[in-house]
Amino acid sequence: MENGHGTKGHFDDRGLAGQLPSRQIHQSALRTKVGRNSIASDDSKKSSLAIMSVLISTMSRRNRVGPDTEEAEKAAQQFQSITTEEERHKVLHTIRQLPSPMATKMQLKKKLMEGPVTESYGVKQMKFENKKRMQSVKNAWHNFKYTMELWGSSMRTIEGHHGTGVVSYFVFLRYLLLVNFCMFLLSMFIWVPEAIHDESAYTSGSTAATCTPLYDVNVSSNAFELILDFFQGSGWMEKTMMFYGYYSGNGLENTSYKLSLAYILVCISCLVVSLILMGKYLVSDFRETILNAGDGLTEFCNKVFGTWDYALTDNTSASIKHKSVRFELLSDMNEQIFVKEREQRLRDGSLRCKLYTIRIIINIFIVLVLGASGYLIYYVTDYSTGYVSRNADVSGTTEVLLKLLVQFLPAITISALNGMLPVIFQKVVVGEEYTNAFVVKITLVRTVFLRLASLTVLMVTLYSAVTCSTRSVCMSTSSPCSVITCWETYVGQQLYKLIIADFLAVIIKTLLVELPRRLCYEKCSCGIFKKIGPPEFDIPACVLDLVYSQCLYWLALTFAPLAPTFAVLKVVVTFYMKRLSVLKACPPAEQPSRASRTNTFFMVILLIAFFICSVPVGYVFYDMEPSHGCGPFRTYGYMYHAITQTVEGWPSGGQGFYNLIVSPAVTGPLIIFLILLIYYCSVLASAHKSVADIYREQLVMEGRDKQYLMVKVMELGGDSTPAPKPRRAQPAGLKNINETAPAPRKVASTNSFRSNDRPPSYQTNNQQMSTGLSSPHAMPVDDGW
Amino acid sequence: MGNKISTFTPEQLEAYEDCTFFTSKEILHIFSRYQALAPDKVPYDMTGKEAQTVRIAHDVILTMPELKENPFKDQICKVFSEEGSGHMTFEEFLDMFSVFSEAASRDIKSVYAFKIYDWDGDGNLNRSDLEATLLKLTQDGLTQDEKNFVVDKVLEEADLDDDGMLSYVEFEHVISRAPDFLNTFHVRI
Repeated sequence: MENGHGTKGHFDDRGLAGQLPSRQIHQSALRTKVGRNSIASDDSKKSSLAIMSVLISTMSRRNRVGPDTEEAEKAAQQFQSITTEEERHKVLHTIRQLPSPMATKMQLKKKLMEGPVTESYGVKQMKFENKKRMQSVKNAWHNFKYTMELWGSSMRTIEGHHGTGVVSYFVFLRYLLLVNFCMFLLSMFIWVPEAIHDESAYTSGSTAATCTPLYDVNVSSNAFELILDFFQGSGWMEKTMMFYGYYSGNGLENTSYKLSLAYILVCISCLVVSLILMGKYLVSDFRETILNAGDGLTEFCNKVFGTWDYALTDNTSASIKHKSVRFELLSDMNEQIFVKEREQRLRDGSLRCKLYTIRIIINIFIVLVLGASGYLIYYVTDYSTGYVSRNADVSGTTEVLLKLLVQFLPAITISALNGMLPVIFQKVVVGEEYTNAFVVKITLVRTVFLRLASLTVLMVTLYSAVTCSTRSVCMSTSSPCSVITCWETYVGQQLYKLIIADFLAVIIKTLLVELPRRLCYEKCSCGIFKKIGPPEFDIPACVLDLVYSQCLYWLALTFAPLAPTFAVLKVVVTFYMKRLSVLKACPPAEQPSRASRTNTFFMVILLIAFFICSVPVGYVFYDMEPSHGCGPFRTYGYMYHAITQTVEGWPSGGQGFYNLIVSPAVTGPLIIFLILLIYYCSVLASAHKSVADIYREQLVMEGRDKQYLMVKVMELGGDSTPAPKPRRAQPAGLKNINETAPAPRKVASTNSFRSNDRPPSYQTNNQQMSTGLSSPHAMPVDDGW
Repeated sequence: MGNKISTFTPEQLEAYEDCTFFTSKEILHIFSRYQALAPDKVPYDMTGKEAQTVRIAHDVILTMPELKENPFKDQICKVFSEEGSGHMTFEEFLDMFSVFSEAASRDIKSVYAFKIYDWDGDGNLNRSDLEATLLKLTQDGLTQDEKNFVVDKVLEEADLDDDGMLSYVEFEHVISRAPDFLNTFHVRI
């Protein structure tokens, strides 16, 4: 037998170590699977999986892939013990999971189907038949989805050019299309009946028993004004189906279709359907998300084994990807050095104090900046509404255009802030000296705050404008607020303007900013364009744009029932614009976007935004008095009375049941129960985590045991070479494992790395790297950690 | 669609459906791609043994856009073909894309990933395997020092029994915690 030791104390595989069961790939592959599945106590499951494990253990022990007819024959004998159809179906289902060549699998299947299976009867057979039917339905559905996949070829092209990170944005976009389409279908319950029984009396009819001023809208005949009205949502546009004021429900009074009830139910169900779709998306990815949460302990393995994107098909993209993999590896190495260095520096108390004060100052600065931008939005919105109401009757082109500009000022301010502030955040975060991963996270969090804050401020401003106006009061007050006769339409108009601005922004950004910039970068020889660089496809910014516009649509649904139609249109246009941008304007990123390559992260942000948006909607239904001059709720004190009045029309049993459900006696304990459930799950998760840590430690100890025993065996076999020295320190506890990071010996001469903020180009980095590691990195054999 | 020669018998299609992660439409689409590679060699009618006997040469398969730019393309063909020759029958071709498809489980992907990264085929990822992987990944862009650093880090993270190489169990353990693996080990066809 050969000498079992290789260089540096590692075992040669051809010796004893090579015969260990854990080295046999097939066996270990299935053992893990069987181990996980045999937790089930189902008898039939155990036996079928037992069959499979025997099957695999008799299969090839070589690592080459090749058909093993005789092994398959042996395995097939095991199939003789399968008697029921159900068992056979289960084993059949696991065949595709085998890591064997196709020929073997086909043979196995043939042998399986030839086995002695008797027809069983009764309940079990029925259940099995049902399962088979469900399976075939699912297959048919998959086939249908495959042929009808929307935008499939575009996605493949984009994936070939840019990789999976960018494609995830487009997948998210496609999912948003589904959500908006469902909302569009639901909103048809509002405007279709109204369109059919059209009675354009949107003024207060005889059913309104209040003395509100008559809700009437002036329509001008000036062509220019008509165009402007489209953008502002005023004039003739205000009288269309777009806004709340149109839906008087007068035409439907003779039918049994209550428009008010339909309205409120549609709004609530749209929100619920959106929530269900988002939840479904999250849940399907959830297990992967938990697994992928990782613990940072396998960074380099992830880099080596998981970064090459197998979907890349384009030549330039592939070479860019090679470069970016190099860059990532180098920057990770630099990062390790940086973290060590920072730890060393921070041992010094005064430096640590300084760093923390800097961090606090920067955080305060950011909070102030956010506050200032919030105030700016409030001020601009206020100014805009004031200006419009003061100059309500201007004529003359310039004044009217100025009025248009002022009306869009809030939207422009929000867009400008959303564009500029993240750049400031990126510059400022450098001073805080966080690790790269954390930098990305915290910048993202701050940007999300900014977007949501601007939306919140807008809502608050609108609220103050609306509650301040004189509406539905007989005695006229001399309030300084603008008189709004139909406040829902007013809010709808403001949101409509934002939606239009958002829509135009997407088109303008792609066509007028990114494409010319790319053209200039390629054609112009002047240095300034080369310095600015080609346009980049910034995934987090684009995703936040989508989230922002989706928020607008959720809010606008209540006040402008045609908003979902707009939303569907906008998503389609966004897809094509972004596709143009990605394929023609933006080259593949050299620095891969570390922020969130998964769709789950985007969905979580969307979910948070959803909850923030549902608060104003719920408040409007619950606590705001609807206008008495317009709309389907003009006879109600509050909008939700539409539901309560309908319930009152039910038989007393139904009423009692409804009252019970919505009473605090039921909802209170339900909320408490849910909170307890969440707490229990989080405790369970942390317990599992600590168990996993214990197992990891055990694994390491087992490995060392094995090494020791191997050495003993070698010695007994007459081998007299010394035992290999362990590479790790004794794992006395969990902490030690985290600290056993081999750092390059030299730490002092690494100042050169951190002096560059911008990612250094490949060449300079290479030089720095070789100077940094001046002593060749030796194997840390026994350096007494 | 009229009377056309069916490429596969219904039994064959069903068998393929059961042995891969594909549906019948996807299988037919993959066949059309396979045939487009060598139209004169691959017949329309595969109801006989053609799916196991007709082989397309290794270098023809590597002209496919899905594989052309992949640094591991040679290994991929080697792993999925019989005797490691690289010339693939339709069944091996189908198997390959089945493993790379989105529906394939993490377990089967990690088995084949291990085989792909195991350049010398000995069932372990030792230093030379890891260095070869790095070489292909970065197109020889790292110095020897940097390569040693990365290989050491990888071994330190994954090699739990301290023997200087990764067995399949250790590889699978590490891969299950790699957030990008499932997303990137995926070829759309």
